[in-house]
Amino acid sequence: MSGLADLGRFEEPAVLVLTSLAERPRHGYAIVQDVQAVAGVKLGPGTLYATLARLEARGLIEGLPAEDRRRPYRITGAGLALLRQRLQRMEAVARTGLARVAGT
Amino acid sequence: MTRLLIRLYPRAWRRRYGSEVLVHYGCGRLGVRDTLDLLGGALDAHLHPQWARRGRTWPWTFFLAAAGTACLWLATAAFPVESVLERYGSEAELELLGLALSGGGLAIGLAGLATRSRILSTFGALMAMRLLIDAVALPALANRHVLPVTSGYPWLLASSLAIGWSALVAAATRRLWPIPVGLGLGLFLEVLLTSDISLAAWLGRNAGLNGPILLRWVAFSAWAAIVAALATPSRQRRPGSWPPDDPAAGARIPREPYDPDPEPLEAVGQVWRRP
Repeated sequence: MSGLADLGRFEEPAVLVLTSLAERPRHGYAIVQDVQAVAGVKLGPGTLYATLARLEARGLIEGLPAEDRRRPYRITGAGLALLRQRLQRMEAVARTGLARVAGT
Repeated sequence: MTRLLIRLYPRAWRRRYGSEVLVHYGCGRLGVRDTLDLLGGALDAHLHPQWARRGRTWPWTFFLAAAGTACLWLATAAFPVESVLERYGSEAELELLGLALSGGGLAIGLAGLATRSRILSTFGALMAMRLLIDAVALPALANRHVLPVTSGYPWLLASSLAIGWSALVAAATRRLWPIPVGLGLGLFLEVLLTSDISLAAWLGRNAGLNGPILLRWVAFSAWAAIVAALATPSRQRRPGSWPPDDPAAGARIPREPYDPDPEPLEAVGQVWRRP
């Protein structure tokens, strides 16, 4: 996907962050908790905020007014479309892979 | 500890995310993994800043860099080469000249810091380091017979080191291509025309041209090439500015209330929709 492919090593964290924000706006630490619960991946603070900065710069997420020095982020329409496209592709790959594994 | 690590990040990053990180990670003890992650993030934030420059600052950068170059050229021209050569020999003269020019590079770098011009401060640092390498360290080594080289080879070796290092800078940053290009061009010209196995030496021996005067002009041209390359404005990564402005007071809040202490994701199919 062209929108995330140029993120390099931040591509996978970006998908996880977008997936987390697709449910509801969350602040950074809540994103970490959610990603850990959903994917079993613990995002470090450096990785998390590098990913947030990239997504924000690309207009895929946006910050909301800070509450108690914690700023929640929400996914934008562009981010949602990109995430949907990405997840559909992953789903197709997973379906094909599972079918092939079952056939062996 | 977290506060110290955050100080390593660029100012714009700290303004945007610093307090947030402190709230989340400033209270408890930071683990080794998170510490390393924050260190890596600081390096990444410097190498790959996600914010575009606000407006074009290159004319200001250009004039400062050009003024610095002119000062360096005047300093070079005024340097008492003959007297130093008589007293200390060519290697000592090179070392002193290199130190003087490196000091000039540091001054330009400081001017870049003062004016918050990243490209100018980088330029100053590059110039200082490059001159330290090829006009101080290597001639000194050659003079003390640490390196088995004649007087021509240190320049070539130093140029290779500097160009390789600049290529690393280009690969790491992906944005500062004018710097290695300018540096490489300047070094190429300088090496081509100043070493003992060079065209200038050949002309001096065979055509009777005045080597030192020719070399000064060549050095000036090399630095002018570097300044011209530096003055070429880099392509902005994307329009707009970063960090983005905070939402104005009274901005629309998402319809679904923000949950500061969310529970783990329960239903992947539930998608928050923009109001």
